Amino acid sequence: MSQHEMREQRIQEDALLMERVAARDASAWRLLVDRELGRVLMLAKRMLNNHQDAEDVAQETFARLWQQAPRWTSEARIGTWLYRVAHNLAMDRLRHRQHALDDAELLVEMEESLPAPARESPLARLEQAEQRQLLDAAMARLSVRSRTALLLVNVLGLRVAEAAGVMHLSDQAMASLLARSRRQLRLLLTPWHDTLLGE
Amino acid sequence: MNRSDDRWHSDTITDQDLDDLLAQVPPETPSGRLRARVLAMADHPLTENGHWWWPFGPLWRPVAVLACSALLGLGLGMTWSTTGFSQDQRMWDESVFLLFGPTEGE
Repeated sequence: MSQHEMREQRIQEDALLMERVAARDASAWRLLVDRELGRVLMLAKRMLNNHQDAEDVAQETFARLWQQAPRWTSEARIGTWLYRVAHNLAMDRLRHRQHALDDAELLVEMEESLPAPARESPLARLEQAEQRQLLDAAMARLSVRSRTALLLVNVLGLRVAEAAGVMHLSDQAMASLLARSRRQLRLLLTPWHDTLLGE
Repeated sequence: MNRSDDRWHSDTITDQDLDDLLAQVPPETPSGRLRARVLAMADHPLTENGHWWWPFGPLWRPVAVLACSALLGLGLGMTWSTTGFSQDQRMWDESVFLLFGPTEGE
């Protein structure tokens, strides 16, 4: 099965799920919430850097999905729709906060900006926590646009065109933003190569 | 960075490394309170216009217009002074008398 066919199949599956939601099938709603709430919350939290705001955004996003259920059209995946709404709501909150984050691409030496991890950690779990801490800190140094692009494509698995739709960008602008964001994140993480990759 | 070129290249995070690292980012675990609030949305009836608290669909627009009109009329009715109207009428009568003299009825 080609990627296109797989995507079409998933869209059809999502449409069926939304039909059940529109028919007030509580189990379908629970399935949807369990599948997507954590991902929406992750996107919102990493965009906003604030857990309470992220929870508010996630709740509002799902409230809109619930309202949208009777009018759902099978043109997009539920996840893509949710990320778009969550992205818009999060951007509104950022504007209200008057955070001038966009396009101020910041490259700061990680040695100066990040706490040094304990390199002699004996437990793999701790090492994984260190890796996650470093990655989180590095992503937090990126602009919100760069961070969002990476999250949508590399973490949440959207295609570039889908992520472009979520962020209201052209496909070309999205690809360019993504390439720039990846380059910046690689640079930020390079000093921690050994810790991150265990070599 | 005080590294030789070889050392630098070997320590560079590659695209594949980055993909692997980002693939490990876990979704957030929603709090029980958030999950409960979102799940509770299914307890409310879903109507065509999507508001569980308004079961009459798009009828809210004419209803809102009527309610506003009624309120406006009520407000005007409560505040309009009938004595003010009489004074205006008297001033008009006096002006007509001064301009045109007594009319036939007077």
